[in-house]
Amino acid sequence: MKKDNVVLLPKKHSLWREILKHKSIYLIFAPTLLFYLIFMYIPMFGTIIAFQDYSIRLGVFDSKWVGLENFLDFLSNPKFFELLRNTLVISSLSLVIGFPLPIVLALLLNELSNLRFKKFVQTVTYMPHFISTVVMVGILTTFLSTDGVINGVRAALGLPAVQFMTTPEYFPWIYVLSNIWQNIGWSSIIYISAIAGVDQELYEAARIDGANRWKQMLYVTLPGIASTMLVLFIMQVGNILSVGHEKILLMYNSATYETADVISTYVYRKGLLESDYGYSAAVGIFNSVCNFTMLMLSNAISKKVSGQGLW
Amino acid sequence: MKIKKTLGEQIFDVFNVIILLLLTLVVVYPCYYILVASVSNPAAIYQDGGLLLWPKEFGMYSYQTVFENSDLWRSYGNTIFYVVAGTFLSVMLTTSAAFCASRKTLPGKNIIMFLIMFTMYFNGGLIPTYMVVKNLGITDSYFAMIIPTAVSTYNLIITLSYFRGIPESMEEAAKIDGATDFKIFYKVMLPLAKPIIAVIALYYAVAIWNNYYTALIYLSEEKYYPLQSVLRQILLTSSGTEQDAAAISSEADGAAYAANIRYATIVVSTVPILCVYPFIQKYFIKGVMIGAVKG
Amino acid sequence: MKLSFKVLTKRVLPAILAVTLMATVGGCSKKGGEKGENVSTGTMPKNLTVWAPLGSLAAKAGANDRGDILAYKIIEEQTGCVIDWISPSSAEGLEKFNLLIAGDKLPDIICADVWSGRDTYRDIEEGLIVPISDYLDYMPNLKKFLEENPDVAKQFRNDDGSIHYLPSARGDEELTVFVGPTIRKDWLDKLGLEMPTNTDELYNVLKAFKTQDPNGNGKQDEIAFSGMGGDSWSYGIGNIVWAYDTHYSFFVKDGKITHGMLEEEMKPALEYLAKLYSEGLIDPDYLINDDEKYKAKILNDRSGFFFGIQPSSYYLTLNDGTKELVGVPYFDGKCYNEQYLNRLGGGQTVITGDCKDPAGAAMWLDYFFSPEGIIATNFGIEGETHNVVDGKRVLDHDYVFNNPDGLESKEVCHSSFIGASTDFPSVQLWEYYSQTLQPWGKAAIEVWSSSANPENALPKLKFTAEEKDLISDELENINTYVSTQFNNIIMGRASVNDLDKIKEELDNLGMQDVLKVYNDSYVRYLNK
Repeated sequence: MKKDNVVLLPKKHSLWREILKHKSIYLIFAPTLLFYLIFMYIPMFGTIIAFQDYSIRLGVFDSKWVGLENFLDFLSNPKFFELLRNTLVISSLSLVIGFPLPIVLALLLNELSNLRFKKFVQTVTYMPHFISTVVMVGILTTFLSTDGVINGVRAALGLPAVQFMTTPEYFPWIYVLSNIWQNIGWSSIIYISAIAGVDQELYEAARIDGANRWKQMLYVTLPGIASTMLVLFIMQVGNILSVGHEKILLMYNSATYETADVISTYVYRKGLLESDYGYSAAVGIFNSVCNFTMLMLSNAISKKVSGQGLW
Repeated sequence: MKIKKTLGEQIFDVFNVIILLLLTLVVVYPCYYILVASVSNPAAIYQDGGLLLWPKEFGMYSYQTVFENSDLWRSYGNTIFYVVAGTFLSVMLTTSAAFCASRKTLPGKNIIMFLIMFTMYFNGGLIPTYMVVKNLGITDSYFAMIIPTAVSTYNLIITLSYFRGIPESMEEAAKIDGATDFKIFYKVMLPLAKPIIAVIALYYAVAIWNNYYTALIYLSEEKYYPLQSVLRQILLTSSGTEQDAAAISSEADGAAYAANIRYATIVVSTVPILCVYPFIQKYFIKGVMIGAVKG
Repeated sequence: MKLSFKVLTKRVLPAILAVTLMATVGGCSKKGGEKGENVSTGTMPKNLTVWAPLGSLAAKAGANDRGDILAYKIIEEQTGCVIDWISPSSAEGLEKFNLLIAGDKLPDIICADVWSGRDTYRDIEEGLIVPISDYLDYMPNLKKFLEENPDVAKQFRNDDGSIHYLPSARGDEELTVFVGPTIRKDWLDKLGLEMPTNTDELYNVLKAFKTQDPNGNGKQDEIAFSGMGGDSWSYGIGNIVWAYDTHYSFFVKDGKITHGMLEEEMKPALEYLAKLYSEGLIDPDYLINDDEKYKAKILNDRSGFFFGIQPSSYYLTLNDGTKELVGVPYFDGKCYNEQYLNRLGGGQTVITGDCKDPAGAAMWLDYFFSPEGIIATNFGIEGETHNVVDGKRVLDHDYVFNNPDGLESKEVCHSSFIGASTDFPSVQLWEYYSQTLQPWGKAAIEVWSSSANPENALPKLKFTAEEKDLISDELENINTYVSTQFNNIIMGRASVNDLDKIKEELDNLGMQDVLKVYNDSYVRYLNK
């Protein structure tokens, strides 16, 4: 990345002049940078507890150093690969199904000619985002239980009852689909706004060229929101190991552990047994390194292929 | 400018409306469920396979419990202040940083952005951050809910990507007129970025609105509590998770109406923030960008 | 913009940086080391700072901190020691506790449900707490209590005999009993059935519940045997394996600790459960029942037999004269519920390293174990909250059950008596507790406690830091594996013939190491 800078600068020894030329930009930048310095970088020394037998009382400076022990503990756990696999299955499924659907919703909404109906659908689909996870999972398990409404419909159709919540194969699907159920409207907002930003003259030009609505969507709208899609896609790839524990803890049970137990839930359960902060921090760093690598990788690929990236 | 639609387009329109109606129905149902369940007998809602179409054994007990709490209205006021002030600050910081990072010629911008991205993945965790906030003296103050969470890197990145999509020609005219960078940012770029500002303002507002964790960590005086903290307290108080002889684990016997109160708190806390959305929506109408430039 | 770039970079920024860096680093690095000189006067202190979370029921009754609870007020008056209470809400206790001990100045005394799980030897080394046993000379009442109740003492004393924290003690054995098998007596009567006394009779009862429509609504919606989770000591359906003299976890067999999945008895026990499940007698949703769904099934007149908790809201709703929930005696007294042995409440209290007068703090804590303290914590004020009738202390019925301030009985108890919350150092008495129960609750507890013989349940063991380190991963993996397989066999996804394979897998997961650590600790426990 440093190379870019050098290339961009007109001549050597003019770096300082170049900086001075942009001083007002730096001034605008300063408050945010200060925020990052104080609230992100100063506390960052806390990450070193991953290499410690950390004691809250002694703090970061006086706790005992244990080198890579916390990392080795995690990596040598016989369940490590199962946890990694489950995490990857759930997040890949989220990526493959969960990523495109909000875009589809935004595109369908864009095709509506009745503005009032459009606003209505937008507002309504965005509402479930505010339901707390506890309540959402409560509704989900009620509907999916053997005497729940879904099995009631199946029974009416003469089909046998399905144990949705206690069959391991179903777990990732139920997890991902219920996330979409709750968040499709919310996730589509960013695309709706991106579509609003597409230059209207492009549509007119396309229309003059005889493009029908399908072609307009394909050749005007989609390219218009491509950079937004790309940015969000890269960011989601950069979260490949971040499957939160909150919802899974509420959803899983002994029958579904084998597909539902992910890295975060394991660390959470272990945290209940013993408050081992060094260990949690080590797992956190492991996740972050993997995620960050994926992010840099996908960003680099994206820059190469499309010329665009996160920065 | 009515354009005649082809048959295919008409069929598509019909299907589109049907699909969106169905989606709306499926997606809105949990919200309706919560509304109805909050005024039903909590045991009765599990009859009929859990499908709730109208209240069962109607009662307003849950809302009484929520509204008779004396801290509720003050916390409502606090939350509105946090949301308004916090969103303003956050949007200012985010857009200004995104504007700067979008300057193609800015020396060091790639390093700066890398360092900012880095914090999405590596951070010091709860206690070091708490120490910083504490030593700045802003725990137990109105600032605690606004400043430590002021910038979200995620929002910064989507804003940056938007800024970089704005054609350079838009600002060149201003530059020729001799406008300073401040002016370009304020007069040219911000109006152009209305749709994305609407989005991140919404993201920030909702995040602040829902944030109880920051309050839990940084606030101990109740006069600063936001709505979510008070609602959480009401919920915890009413579920009475500890038991008499058995204060051993959470496998305890909660009070009968805890579930209702949980639904009611969602209703009470969600309705106001839902009302914000229509105001945001007007920035999502097509052509807003062109309008901004021409105006 | 008057502020020039130069000024900003040269003056303002460095200044801000310096201040924040100094502030943050300064605040973090200085800890431990500075131990104040202790002033042990041997007299009751004038004031103390005590950190103790406030339970939700007391908060609901209007208390802002523990000082608003009647019993603490009485003790403040009687000892003359003024307490500065710091009381976060108990639900936020753990987060607040971590922030507390990360900070500079600790209160004199901390009560939290964390100490039994911590390495308190290390906490002493790091200056976080001081060992209470060093101050036993100032605690005559506690000493006496320990002598009179060796069973209780064993449960919180360290293996080397030292004491690091004070528990809330259950003074009588009945107080450990609050969960147990429960049945719809009115359904039994209606179908002309007897109370089951073994698993075969239970099977017949469950079959009748399922098929003969005891709730009389014409639908076969009865859940003969309901529960929440398979292997949970409170509501789990798996608790029925106790009748086969085994357990889904660790327990004592022939003087040694073993795990039920390794024992022969597990086979018939799981066969029985699998049979019940396949015939639809067990709630097919038992694994996804949460507290609300489980209770709703009871309240909606659907559950016939289950492991229940006492006192509970569903008893209150159901026992209205038309329906009757009663406790079922344990079959042949077989009960492996560890809670039946647990004489400690849910909180532990320490004297911190920052306490200037640990001897005085010890004296104050000791007062809670004195005869006056025990009366105050269990009964409040004589003549106001209770009276002495025929030499017995009787709670004022109107004060508890028809409270003038309109509080529920639970709220009254939690805002008046420490005996209710069982977390602060105190001795809870059955004489007090039984008076706060409804008649049917008291009856169920008496059925369970008189029939149960939990002598082979796992006692409260202590592990050294090294032992914990050694087995924590193994234990976590074993527990999830056992839980999965136990439920798989019940639900018919695996068969009892797989038990041999399961044993092998358990050995791979480190079962033998775990058993060794458990048995080592058990030997130390027996020698205590």
